Amino acid sequence: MRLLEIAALAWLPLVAGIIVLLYLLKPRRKDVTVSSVMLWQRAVQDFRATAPWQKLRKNLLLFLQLAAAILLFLSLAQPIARARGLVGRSVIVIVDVSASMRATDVSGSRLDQAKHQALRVVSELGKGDQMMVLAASNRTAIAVPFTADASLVRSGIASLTPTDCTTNLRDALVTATSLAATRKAPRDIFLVSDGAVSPITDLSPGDVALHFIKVGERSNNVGITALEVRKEYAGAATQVFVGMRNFSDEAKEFVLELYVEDRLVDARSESLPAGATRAAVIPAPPGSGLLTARLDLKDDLETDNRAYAFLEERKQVPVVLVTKGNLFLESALNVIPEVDLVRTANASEAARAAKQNLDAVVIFDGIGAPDTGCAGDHLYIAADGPQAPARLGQAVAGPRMLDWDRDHPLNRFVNFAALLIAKAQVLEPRPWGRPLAFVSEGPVLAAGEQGRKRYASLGFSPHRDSDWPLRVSFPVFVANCVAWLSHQGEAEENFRIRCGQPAHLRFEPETESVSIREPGGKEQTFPVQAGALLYQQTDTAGIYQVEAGKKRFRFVSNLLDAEESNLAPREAVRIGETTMRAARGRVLRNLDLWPFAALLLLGLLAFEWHAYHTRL
Amino acid sequence: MPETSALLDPDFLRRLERLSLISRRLFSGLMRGERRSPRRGSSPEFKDFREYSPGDDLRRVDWNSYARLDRLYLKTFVEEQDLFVYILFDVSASMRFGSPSKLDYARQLAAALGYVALCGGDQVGFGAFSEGLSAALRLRRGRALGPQVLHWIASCDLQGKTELVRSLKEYALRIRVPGLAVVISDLLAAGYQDALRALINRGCQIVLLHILEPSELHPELVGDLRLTDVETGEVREVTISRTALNQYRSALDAYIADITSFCSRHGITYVRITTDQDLEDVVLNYFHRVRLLK
Repeated sequence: MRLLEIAALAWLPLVAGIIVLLYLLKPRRKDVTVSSVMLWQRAVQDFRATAPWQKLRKNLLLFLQLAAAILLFLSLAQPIARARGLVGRSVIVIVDVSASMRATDVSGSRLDQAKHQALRVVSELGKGDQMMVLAASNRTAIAVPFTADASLVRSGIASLTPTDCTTNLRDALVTATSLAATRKAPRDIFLVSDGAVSPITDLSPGDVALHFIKVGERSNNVGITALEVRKEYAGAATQVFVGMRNFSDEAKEFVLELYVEDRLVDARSESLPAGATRAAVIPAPPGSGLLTARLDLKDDLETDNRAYAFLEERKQVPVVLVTKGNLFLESALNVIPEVDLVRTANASEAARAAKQNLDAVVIFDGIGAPDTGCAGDHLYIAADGPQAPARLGQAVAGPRMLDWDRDHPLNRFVNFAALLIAKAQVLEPRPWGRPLAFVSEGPVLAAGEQGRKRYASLGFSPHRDSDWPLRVSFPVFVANCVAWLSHQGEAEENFRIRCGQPAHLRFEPETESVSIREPGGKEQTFPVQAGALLYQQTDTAGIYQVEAGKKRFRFVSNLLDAEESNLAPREAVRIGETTMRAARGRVLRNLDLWPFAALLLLGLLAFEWHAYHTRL
Repeated sequence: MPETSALLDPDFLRRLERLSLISRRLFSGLMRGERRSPRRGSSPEFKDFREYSPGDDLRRVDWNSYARLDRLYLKTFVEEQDLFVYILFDVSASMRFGSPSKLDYARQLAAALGYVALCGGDQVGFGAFSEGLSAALRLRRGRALGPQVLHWIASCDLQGKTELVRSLKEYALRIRVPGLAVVISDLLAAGYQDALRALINRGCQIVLLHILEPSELHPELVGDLRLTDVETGEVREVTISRTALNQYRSALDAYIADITSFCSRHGITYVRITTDQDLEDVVLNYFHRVRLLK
């Protein structure tokens, strides 16, 4: 038994003292004249109330009142007992099926233990209890809808399979509380997880009782948290960046191996102290193909010991610059190794050049595009054109940059905050154009896609109307523009995603079906509509092989999540203002004892009343 | 008889006239009366023969016996004398309790028994006692004195505490001729044994009428009380519970058992009466059953 409001007991000594004091004080006695006290003297000599200790020893009422006071304050202290069993409840069990639940630090795996705990909750279901099971990873799925059929729930729990996805318990809890809200109270949500999740501060469970059942014992894991294949900014070399972290309590020594298409190309010994992070930058081997980084060690989680990427041959980007002369822009373009720059002052000439290479990037710098249109992807700098995402509008002097869309690839690593602009023309985006940067009068940067072609507009000339070319962000912006307009890193083939993310697969328009082979060897065929397929079954890390007629390609799915790789089981999960403490072992619930104490108190008071009136 | 009618109902008085006190012992009286005396006398009732002694009255010689036996025998006859009745009643403060009060009841009993004795030609003396013999009425005889006696009884009022020993010893010293002593009291005082022995020692046959009121037998007191003794002013602070009441009743039963035992040992007629009993029923029926009146 525990007391939730133990401070209430602090009043007990005071009240008990007052009760005893009242008994110590001489009671006000009723005067009665009798014919003789002779017989009373004989009869009641033991009952005479002159010595306080005698009163305390003899008086039943005193003991009853003290017991009543104890029960009263015990009730106020909100006693609870940890009791098994659930009665008349709607119970939602969220079982974490994220990658960390694959950890083998417990018998079987953490998911096996989670299933066991969930089955214990099922075993405590009472008659009329309804239960639902949610499987939570980066998305939440209903494994078993609300049902009173325990066997259905058991089979649903048994069929839960682990994923290599991250954990999004917030979505799971929002779903669970939303579903619970449709049920009558009392409602319980059991979260069976290792708690590898950030605190959820913006969710209030309301009157739903939350219980956290912890699984997992230790954190003995080293994982790959990042894998990138990067091209050097200057030069043609490619680097492989591997981020590793030791999540265990002791130093780990292991071998980092790099494979290209199952061919070992590099291996190096690594030593990571407890909790340390290491970033290995390795020159990429020549050629292209599937790159696999692998940690050769035995730990509790295998999934994060392997990560995949693709080595690609560098592709040149033809860029047609239509300008009357812009040294800054040309310099910025020239430092991009992939760029094959063609400079012209004639828009029509540029259109002809673009027609010859449909993937060309055409930059109109102060010269409008021809009215007949132009092939390729376009950047309009203080220029207009029929394909521009925005028309040039009102001219403004000395505008200040207010805000910009930091998530758009064009603005990546670009800071407009201190930019000084002498004059600019506010853009009027077309319906498909999306404004990306704003001055007080309106947008000055916009971008949009038409079909598979991309277009961007800038409302001012950087070198004539601003100090932007003198800033670091200018060449970065230019590089971003070239990369975005040329679809760099967005190959429709040989791409990689994070586990659980949907894969946008594009095929030839006439493709009707596609066969996909999952990392586990399972092969499925999916219909394709309008040359596109949104493939969502990417819960397993590994290589997915896609075959659509003659077209074959691969994509890979990686975990690469430090939160998941950190196997240290959390003792509590914080949700809103509530901190759910881990309940080890048995699934117990708080059983309020105060109604029993109050009932006992009532009985005691009734007995005290009876005793007073009958003078037992 | 305005005073007497306040004490006893005239009809009841008339019914009392037909009764007489029963004395289990024979007492010698002073005057001729209607009670058998241990003495030989001249009543028509033959008692015995005895041999003639010189000086005997020759008129009492049984000449028939002399003719048959040639010896002189005298016939003796039962002497009938008056009975001395002493009626003592308690007027201490404790007698004021009850409805009617124990005092009223005691005065009515004393009046009833006294009137019976007067009507029976007995010598009747009265005594009212509390701390001592507070009032006494010398021996009276004859029905004609009934109103006077009843008036005197009615005039006896409550006073003081009970001193049984002192009171009854004081009265015992006044007794010249032993007789029937009727003591009416609630006996809520110590020393009743010595007090009654004083009367026994004077040769009296004692009838003890123990008067209690119902609330003394079954008190309805409960709670934290300050009990004040009406006679002594003694105060007892008590908490009376059911257990205490049970113990009180046990103590009362033991006290009554003591009195009964004492009376039994000393040939005292003990009659316990409560004030809720009908007086006429007590006198006319109950006293008849316990062979106090006939």
